[in-house]
Amino acid sequence: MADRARRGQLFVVGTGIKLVAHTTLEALDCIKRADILLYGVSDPATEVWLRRLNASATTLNDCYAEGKPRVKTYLEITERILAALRTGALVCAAFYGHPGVFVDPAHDAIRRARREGFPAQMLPGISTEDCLFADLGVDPGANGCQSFEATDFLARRRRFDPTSALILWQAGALGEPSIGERMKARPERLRRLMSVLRKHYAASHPIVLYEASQFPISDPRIKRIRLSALPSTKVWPITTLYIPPKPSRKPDQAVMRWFDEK
Amino acid sequence: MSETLVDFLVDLASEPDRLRAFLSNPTHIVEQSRLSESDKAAILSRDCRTVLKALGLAAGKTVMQMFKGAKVTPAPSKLKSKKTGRKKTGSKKTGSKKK
Repeated sequence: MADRARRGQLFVVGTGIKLVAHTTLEALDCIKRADILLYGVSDPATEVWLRRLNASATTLNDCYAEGKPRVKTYLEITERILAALRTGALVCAAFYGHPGVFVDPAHDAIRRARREGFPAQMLPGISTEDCLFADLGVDPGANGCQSFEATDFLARRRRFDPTSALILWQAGALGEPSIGERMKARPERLRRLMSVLRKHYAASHPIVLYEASQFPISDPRIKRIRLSALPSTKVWPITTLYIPPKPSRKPDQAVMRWFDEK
Repeated sequence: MSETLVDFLVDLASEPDRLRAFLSNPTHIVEQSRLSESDKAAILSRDCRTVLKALGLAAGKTVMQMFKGAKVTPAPSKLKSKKTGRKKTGSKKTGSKKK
């Protein structure tokens, strides 16, 4: 029978987008006091910072390789987290951004840990979407906001409301199964994306190409173009597309009257 | 002995007073450092991609850990069994677009 005093516990945390600045106090606490700290982050500065905070810090980045199937990578990451947990340690798995956004193994590790009887908790972090709202000065509550992975958006013909904001992730990797160095979106694929969007927006409708700042010394990259210019624009995998809403639709008067009556 | 770009960035990000000093006078703080001339130029560019390049990360490598292949599975009609017309359960998610 497992020693109750050495029962493993898992925290999955986010380090945020901007080096050091975006890590929440509760995530920082977990990172510092973990017996085993595992991390998957996107730059060496964050790695060094994590190693300064916790000597046990071990990278998960070596699970990634160009051309390696994502599913295999994610399974390896989950297995490593669970293997650490089964030793009875307090394990912290730290991921770039928000650990629950675009991080399959984070959710998978939590689910499997709980299934095996371990306490497991995810702590939210600051995501690129959070940075986007701040840097572009847009409020998702104003008209609503829809968020899709760009390849998924095209392939599944996602339905959306153009009078609400639209966010498309990873547009620079449109239709690509993995990332390569110096990759950018293929113009013919951007043309296809534009043609889908043109059914809902005018050619002159504005689009924002957005990249959050990863370092406190740099500013975010914000480029505003017209929808018609999308195919001829360089869109990198890290780029997020923000498409502002069309003029808001009028409220349904019958519903408004019903609200008044109730 | 020179200072590494990584250490410079982490120190700056961890020390709010120093960061404030940098933001008000970047050149002064960079000149005080023991960074190489190319690293100083990268910092003074204030450009994220330039800093990442100086850190030895190409654009693709930077996002490799962040990129998530879209879970695009066959259209629902293709998942229907020809014999029964029932949808197959437990379809395998590939984590990448099937071509």
